[in-house]
Amino acid sequence: MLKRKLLRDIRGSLGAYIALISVLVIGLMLYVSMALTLDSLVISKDNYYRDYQLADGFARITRGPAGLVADLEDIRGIDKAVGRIVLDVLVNKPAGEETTTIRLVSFEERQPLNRFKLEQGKVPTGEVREILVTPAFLKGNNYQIGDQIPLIIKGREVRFTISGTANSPEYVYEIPNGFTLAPNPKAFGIALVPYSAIGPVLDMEGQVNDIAFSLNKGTEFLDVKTQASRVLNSYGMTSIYPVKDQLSYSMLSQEITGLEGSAKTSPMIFLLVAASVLYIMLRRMVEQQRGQIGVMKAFGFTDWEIINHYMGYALFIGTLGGLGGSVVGTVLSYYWVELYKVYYNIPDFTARVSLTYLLVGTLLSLLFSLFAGWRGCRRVMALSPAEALRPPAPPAGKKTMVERVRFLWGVLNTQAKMVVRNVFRNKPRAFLVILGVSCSFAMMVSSRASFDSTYYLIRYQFGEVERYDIKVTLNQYIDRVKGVNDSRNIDGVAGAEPMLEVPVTLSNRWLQKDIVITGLPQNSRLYRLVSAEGKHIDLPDNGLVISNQLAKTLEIQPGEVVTIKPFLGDRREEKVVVRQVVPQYVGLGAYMDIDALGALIHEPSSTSSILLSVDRSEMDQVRKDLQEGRNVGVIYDKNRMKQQFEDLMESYNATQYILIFFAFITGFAIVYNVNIISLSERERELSTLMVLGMTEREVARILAFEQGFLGLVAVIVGIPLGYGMLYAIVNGTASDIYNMPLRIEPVSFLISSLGAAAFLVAAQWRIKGRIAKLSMIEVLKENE
Amino acid sequence: METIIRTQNLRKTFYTGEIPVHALKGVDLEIGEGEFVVILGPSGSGKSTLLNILGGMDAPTEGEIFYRGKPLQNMNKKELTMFRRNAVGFIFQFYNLMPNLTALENVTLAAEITNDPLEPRKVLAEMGLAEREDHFPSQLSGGEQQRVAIARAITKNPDILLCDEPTGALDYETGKQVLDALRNFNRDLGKTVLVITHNAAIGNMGDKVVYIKDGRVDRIKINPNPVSASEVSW
Repeated sequence: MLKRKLLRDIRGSLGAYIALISVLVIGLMLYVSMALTLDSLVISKDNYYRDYQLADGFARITRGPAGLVADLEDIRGIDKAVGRIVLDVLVNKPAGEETTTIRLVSFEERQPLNRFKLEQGKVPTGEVREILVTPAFLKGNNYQIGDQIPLIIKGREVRFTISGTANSPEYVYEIPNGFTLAPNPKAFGIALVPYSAIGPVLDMEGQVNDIAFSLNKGTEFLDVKTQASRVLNSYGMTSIYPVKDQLSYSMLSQEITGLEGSAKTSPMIFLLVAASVLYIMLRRMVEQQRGQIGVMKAFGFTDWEIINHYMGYALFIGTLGGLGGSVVGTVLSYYWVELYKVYYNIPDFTARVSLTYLLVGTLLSLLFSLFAGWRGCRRVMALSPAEALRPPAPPAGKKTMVERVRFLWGVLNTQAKMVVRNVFRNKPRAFLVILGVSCSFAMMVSSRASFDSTYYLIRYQFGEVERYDIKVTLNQYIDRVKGVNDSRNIDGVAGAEPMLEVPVTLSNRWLQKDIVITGLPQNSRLYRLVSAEGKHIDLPDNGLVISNQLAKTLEIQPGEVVTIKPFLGDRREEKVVVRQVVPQYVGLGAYMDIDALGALIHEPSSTSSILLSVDRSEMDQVRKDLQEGRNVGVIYDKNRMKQQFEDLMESYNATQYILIFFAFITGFAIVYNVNIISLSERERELSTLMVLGMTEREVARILAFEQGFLGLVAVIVGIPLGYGMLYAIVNGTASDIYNMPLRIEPVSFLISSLGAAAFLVAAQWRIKGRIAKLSMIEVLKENE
Repeated sequence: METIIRTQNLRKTFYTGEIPVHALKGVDLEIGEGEFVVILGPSGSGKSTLLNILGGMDAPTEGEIFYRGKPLQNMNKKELTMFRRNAVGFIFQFYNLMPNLTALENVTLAAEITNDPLEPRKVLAEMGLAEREDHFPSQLSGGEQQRVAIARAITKNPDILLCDEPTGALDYETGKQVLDALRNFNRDLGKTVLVITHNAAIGNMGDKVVYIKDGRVDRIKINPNPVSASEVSW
């Protein structure tokens, strides 16, 4: 019979229950979908790395005999080593089409490390010019197996036939460098090519320029770094790094860390909100149904039976919310996985239905609900039947702190005074409203702001810092003056500047980092250093300007001295003063005067890249001309990159609005439920006001002012909270490759405030309907 | 003496569940300006229903009711609210004060929404509550709370004061104080006061006593020499 009462009570305030259950569903949906996706991602990744033997360390050399791997394998701690030829080449395409760079990675039969997974077609034998490309690259460029790709190698066209598709654990995230944030198969792809097919083409038979090695169990990368470097230095080593710094690996790790953080935090906000609302709802219900409880007790129901009844509400909500959220979350995880598969090439990465998470999700929901329910209704036990049948003690009026501010209190009219006292009347509840609204506001702010931050980054990086149109990275150092002049002679090139990039180890005391120092000419127009305040910074004649992330990593302040050890030249260590720290959001940058940097490696007049400014109308022709250049490695079209970035952000836009919508629902659920509760507590007061001659509108206005006041406080609290959330997001995703600026545009605060105002008004609007239904006569006839 | 309220064949039927309850079965009544009217009847006789309709809180099912010649049954919600706001003061058995406003603030609240209010502090002082104006309802006795409620009704300076069992929850002495205050309002300002009660002794105070029985006016007694509150006893 009590069950029937439960169902009727729920039907009686269906709106409040639906709102509450929605919040639970959102929380669990997020949790289950992210946890499931994370699980699948981690398992598939681990299996992939293990089954295809991803190496533990990598090194890049200028050129060396293939036999050097044996020297490496002799080092204690190194298990296996392989030498490869890795080279970026351009696809020969007609003018007007996007420049495509292909990274040729050589392989040998029965290679012990970095094995690839053949997806389609057949493995090239090496007798003819055949390559394997990734499925993403094949699809993205509308190639078919059997098609020929014309590559420009050493200034002439060499055609390779696509014999099949394959994925490599080394290129799960298929990007050319850390400045590229998302894969774009039209611009970059990996091609696996038999060593015997590529060696002769490059005049590198019997030689390699890239090393991968694995470590024995229990050995750390640092244990072998020095010895391996000693072997490789004689072959012009330019970098040596552990797998955790390998680009694709670290991008994926970063993604996993971020997803882990989100899976742990954001659902909890929703669950906590739902639990708090449920708590006050049940607490109120027990208070309101005192009489009924008294009657039940008088009839001889035990405390336990009555509590059981009230816990039934929690159970109902928890089960429905939990199951609903888990099921929707499971479905959503399929969508997440598909989204991930667009960017990450992981074979056998699929979403799965997991009974465990269905169970965990439902249990989590029940845990929160039952705990809140228990806290809400345990006072049932304290009531004796006779006491329960008596009405509760009347609410005592009290002066509030605000009244101490005499002059302020004096100006308020009585209605306003009532509003203020009501706000302070139930402090825990006011606190809950403020907490809920500010969380929801902060969620709106932070989800908008992650876009603000990224767009700021785009504006800063592509608008302020990188002023060029095309960056041509050369396959080898060339003479600076000649390179610049040759480039200027290309039709359509308006300006050209050199850029010297030197890989070095930068160290401060025991802290060190392998980075690339960028050498720029004085007063460079095409690449400018810009301070956090947006001011143009002059490059010092000597000394370094470094990025803030690098300064943090090396714990260094401007004015202090760091040690530079280049990977090139005679590798002599030198001390250099850090002159200034600049913001940089992509990569770990360090900048120096190009002459000073050249002197450091005894290449006083060399350059490794050329920056070009190009007339828009001549762009296609310039790119075409550059493709044919002999030493041209990568042609990087900044504007296209910028566009790609913006498109990527555009595609995430929906996510932003979904999150804002979730925040909105949550805010609404809190405000609406709390309003309903306040209203039921105050029916008598409000009816009295109407009898006194106040219109429904005036009565509703009193409640609206209360909510408005709390809302205003919540928004004020929400501003630092929003910054906090964004800071947590930024910090959680910061890495050597990418650190997001902390940026919230005023318009985001505005939109979020409007969002908060919207759910306050929506909740208020529902309340107004309830006020209209208040019956003055019935309410006032009752005893207090 | 001008008629302030007149009803004609006033009927009210409630439908609780499926059984219709006829609370008023055709009430004809005339109340003059400045009269002190006592409506007497046992519980369930329909007197509260009558009061609610007279005060514009409820609409009759049938029949007519005129306030200064204007038909209340034709007024919309807004007009009824304005009628309650400016013309009527209510006093209940349970005082229905705002718990989080002080005595003075409770009175001021009513004054703030009315066109031509009396000075709240003065009204409160007349009720003998000058010392208690900063107290919250929970800090006042029942009699004090009821006097605050009366002050709240009076401060609106209404033409007619409707009181539903105003002494019902009070002890004997306090009850008499409250009645005295009502009588004073009637005498001093010439305002109409309507008191509903089942306490026959209070009938002696009225200029006119209306006996309600089973949803109808049973009889009306004109009292040429009404007594003061101090002379009433029960």
